[in-house]
Amino acid sequence: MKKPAVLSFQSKNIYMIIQNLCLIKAELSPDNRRVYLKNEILRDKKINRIQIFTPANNATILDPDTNLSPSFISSFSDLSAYFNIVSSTGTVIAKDKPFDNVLYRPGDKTLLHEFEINQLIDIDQSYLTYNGTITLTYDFLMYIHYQTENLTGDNNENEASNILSINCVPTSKIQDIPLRNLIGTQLDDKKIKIIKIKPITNPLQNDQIYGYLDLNGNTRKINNIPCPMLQLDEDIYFDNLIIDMDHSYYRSRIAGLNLIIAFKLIFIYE
Amino acid sequence: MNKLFSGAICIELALKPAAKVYFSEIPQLIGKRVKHIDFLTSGDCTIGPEGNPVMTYLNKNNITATFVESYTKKELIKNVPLSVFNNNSNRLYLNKVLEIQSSYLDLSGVPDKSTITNTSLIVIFYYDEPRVWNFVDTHDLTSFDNFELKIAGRKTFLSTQLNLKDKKITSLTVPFVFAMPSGNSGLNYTRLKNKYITLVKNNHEYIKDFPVVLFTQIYNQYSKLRLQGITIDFENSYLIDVDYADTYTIDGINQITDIGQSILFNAQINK
Repeated sequence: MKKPAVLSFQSKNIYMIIQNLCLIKAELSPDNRRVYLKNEILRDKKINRIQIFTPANNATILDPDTNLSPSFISSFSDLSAYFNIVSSTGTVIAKDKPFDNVLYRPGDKTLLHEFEINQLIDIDQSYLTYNGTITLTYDFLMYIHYQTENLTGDNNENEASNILSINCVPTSKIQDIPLRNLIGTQLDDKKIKIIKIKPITNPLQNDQIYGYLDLNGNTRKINNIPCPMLQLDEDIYFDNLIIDMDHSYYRSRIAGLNLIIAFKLIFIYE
Repeated sequence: MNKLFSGAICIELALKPAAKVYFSEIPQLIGKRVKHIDFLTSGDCTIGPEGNPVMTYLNKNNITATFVESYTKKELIKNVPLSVFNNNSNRLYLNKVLEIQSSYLDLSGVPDKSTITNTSLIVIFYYDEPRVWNFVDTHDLTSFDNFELKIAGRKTFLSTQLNLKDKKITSLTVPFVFAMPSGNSGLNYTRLKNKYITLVKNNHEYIKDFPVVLFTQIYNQYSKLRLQGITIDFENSYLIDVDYADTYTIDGINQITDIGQSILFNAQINK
């Protein structure tokens, strides 16, 4: 059988491959000095990496569930927060690892590809803590990348097979749009390799799309990945992701006076 | 992606209102393969490791560099604007053994020569140092640990770190934290600019006068530096704080200096 024509997609170096993503809401306060990574989804799973997502120095994007704004970045230095991660065998993977090097904010040009773990961890003994003196509560979104099976290993290519671009125009600042409504059946049973987001209006400006993609798949779960992360120049690969369009959503969560921006959802698939 | 390196030397190049300024010979670089070169200006550090003011960043595009390759004696890197060597942390990969003393900067394009008079340029050469490098397998497991340096004066030696003894370090980052794991207070980001660290192994200063600010990643300003599995003799390694005696306030009330405050270095270790 003749191999399909390959379309090349201009991209820079691959930074990461995501198989699954678990979102843990983290809250540190004067009364709560530790947040454990105790989500049962992560038990006995190989943890790839940890990232913290936070809005920039003003209210931009809301929490996908509470519709409230997570805490701002500028106050995190006072927090002086650290990760302590223990492997499932009891060895220390990370001792007092500062979390400001794993932060991502809308508008950042790159991801700080800092906290690669790639091991089973003890979720009951692994936690985030802080050493600063605080009087307020700080809440943010902690993303744990994890595996449920071996990576397929064939995503490490820069060439794309097929590309589908869909326009998305939310009608409300807080809105959940099923992907079925946007995409129809065009991507049913297709393996998604890369997802990118590009604003339609004024593409020369660095307009951020303040929303999340909540993707459920065959054996994959990408729990509310922030759309700004898919707007970077670098490609973020997904590992053999077949999206269940009926149970996956674009969640618009625009804060304050920020405008609704139309954008293109671009899927690169096999 | 920037290349792995195992040696780095930082020099202060004194500028003068002449058309060309030549580098002096750097003994540590003789026969060594240079991978990247950084040119730092006042946007990165305001005072160099020798204590001289650093040239304004406004001139970075007006100055070009020419480097002679050591074996061919040819100017194989010719008239390159300084900003090209390191463009938002995308560093030009040079991979050459250089004849430094035949290499020079061309300052003829600087419109106002008074902006370079009595200033210096900080130049960092990243190179391969076989005496300290180790094989790094990206498939190996990694772990993270840290060491804290509490500033004691102009020169502060690192303390013994049993947890990091003989561990192969593949990156060092300096976070922006006000409270160390020990509870000690951390330096404000602006105070990190004029600090230079020297790492030693077997009495060899393989990372010499390296600006600490390049280990920070705040606001994505500096990308992660990739070390080739270096190990550190902590007791012989030290930090130079060129403006340790400056007094300043961080709360608007109390005058403090750097002395007694700490810098945290977070190490990624290859198992």
